Amino acid sequence: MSLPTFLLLAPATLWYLLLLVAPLVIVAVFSFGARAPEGGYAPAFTFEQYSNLPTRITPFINTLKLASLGTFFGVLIAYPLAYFLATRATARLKSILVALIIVPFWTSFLIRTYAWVTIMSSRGIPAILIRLGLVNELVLLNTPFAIVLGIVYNYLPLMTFPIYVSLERLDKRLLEASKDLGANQLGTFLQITLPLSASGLVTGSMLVFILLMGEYLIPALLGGGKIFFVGNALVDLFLQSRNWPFGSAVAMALNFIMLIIVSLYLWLTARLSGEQRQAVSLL
Amino acid sequence: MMQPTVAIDVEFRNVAKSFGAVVAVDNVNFQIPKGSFFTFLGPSGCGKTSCLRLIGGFEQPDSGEILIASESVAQVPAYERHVNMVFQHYALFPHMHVAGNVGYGLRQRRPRMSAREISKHVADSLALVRLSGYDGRRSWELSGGQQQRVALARALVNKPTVLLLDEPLAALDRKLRKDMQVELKNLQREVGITFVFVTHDQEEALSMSDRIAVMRDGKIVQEGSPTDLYSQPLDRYVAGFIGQSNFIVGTVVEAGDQVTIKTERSVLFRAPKSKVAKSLLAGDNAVVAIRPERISLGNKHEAGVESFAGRVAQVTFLGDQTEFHVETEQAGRLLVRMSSGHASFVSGDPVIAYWKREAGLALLNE
Repeated sequence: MSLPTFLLLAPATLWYLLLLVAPLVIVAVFSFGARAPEGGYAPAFTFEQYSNLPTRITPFINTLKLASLGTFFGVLIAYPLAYFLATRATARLKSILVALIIVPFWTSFLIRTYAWVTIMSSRGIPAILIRLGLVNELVLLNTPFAIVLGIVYNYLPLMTFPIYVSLERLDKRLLEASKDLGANQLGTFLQITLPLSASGLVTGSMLVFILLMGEYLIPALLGGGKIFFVGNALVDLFLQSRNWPFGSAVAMALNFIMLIIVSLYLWLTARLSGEQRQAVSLL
Repeated sequence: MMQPTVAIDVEFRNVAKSFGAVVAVDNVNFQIPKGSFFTFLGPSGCGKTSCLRLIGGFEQPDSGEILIASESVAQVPAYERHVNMVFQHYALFPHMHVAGNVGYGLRQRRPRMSAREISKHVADSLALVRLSGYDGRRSWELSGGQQQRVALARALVNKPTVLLLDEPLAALDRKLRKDMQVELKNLQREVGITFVFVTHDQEEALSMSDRIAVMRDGKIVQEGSPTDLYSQPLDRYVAGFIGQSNFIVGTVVEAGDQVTIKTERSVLFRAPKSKVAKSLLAGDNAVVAIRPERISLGNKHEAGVESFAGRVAQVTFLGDQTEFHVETEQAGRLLVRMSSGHASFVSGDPVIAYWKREAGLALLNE
């Protein structure tokens, strides 16, 4: 390796080693350790922490549920939005809409989410609807609806833009060719548009899903904190009960689940980009 | 209505189409006989591709009527027309292999066609374009010529009434283009489907078509067989577009079947009038058009011919033929094409350029 190459690579390598690899190694080592009597970590080699994992199965299930639902509703909102942006909107409308999606993110995440707390609280939208006589009683805050809304709202750009890019790149002549060959609107969408934008769809979904695995603030603020997620469990274990080894084991388990999902993602995108023929004959 | 003797596959009746302020198709009428190879020829922006897209159903006419197989298609969307298109850049589906692409149209059929039947038709169609065994290839693994043939197979497998081809050879290199011209023409004869072809390349149009419609500014200027268009062009535009011509510009001084024009330098030229053109009147702006291969070069004036002294300005050797640019005082700069064996003039030589009077053609100068 030449000196300039080495110098150019050094900062990134150092960053990567210090802030990613080293912490991961520490967590991995801790997860096989024991809890010191006064809390924290005591050196040991035991699988005890991992064998205790099933006691924390509920937060894992809650987290997977949250991530799946959030991703699902995200796709439901983001795909039509991206489709409209890429195929229907005029250049002017497009820039306005993109700005409308991005501008709220100039404000901090916490402030935005607290704003939703106010909007959905009993003095917010429910009060207006009751005043208008449209409903007699309505509770929005601290419901599953509020959680989904907060998630979709906060993760929408992450989902929308990859889909938008893949739809924008789509050669419009392919759609004409499809219609020329006898496929109607729906047939063309299902056989051409959807498969050719699937890579964007998968990318957006993975981004959102992985980030949602660590998400616990939105459900805490908008869902009333009644549901326990892996994020909550980690905060609890490390900061409250100071059981670092068990916290590390939980974190390792979370990493493992993400690893599976990322592998699935890589496999899917490889398949979609056509490296394997089999994917197409299924269509 | 009178029964036509030849079945008509495509007919335009006073069809017009504008895009904003641009008139793409201006009150166009034509009939395309069944089983023929019909070409729209013209420069870009002349409306030829719009005509094709109107037949395909990708555009709707502002006014007028389009008939396919004698039925009005006003209410018929693109996906229900028995018409298929070979797109300019092929538009092959990148996420499907060759067989997936070719079978696409068959998979849209309702009631459904069995998988075995589809693969049989796909194999037949690939054999037709000499691509047997390429079923599993991806479009990016194919050369331009092969992609072209996949696009053809994908359209032909549906057995359309009319096959539309939008400059399908434009992206190929010259040698391949020549080969594909022959192949396309043979294919058309073999399958007997009406081909409607769009090109700006007169050579392509001449070599393949049964009939050519020369277009300009959204109108069909002249329609006829390649030989008709070449030997009897309607006006200077058509003569210039179909093959090459020398034009000697002047004013009509004597009209009739034989026309005399007088150039700016007061030289008189006589030539027969194009048979299809309206009669020329004294005072009209006109040209005498002479094809380069109809002019000969010699060393002395000949009797009974139009002959002019000049000097060879440039010689271009083309292999079997040689092109000479001859600068004459009376007829201006002339392009002359002769068999290479017959002419051994070099740049700077004094020569006499001559042609038989009936080799020229008097045309309206538009």
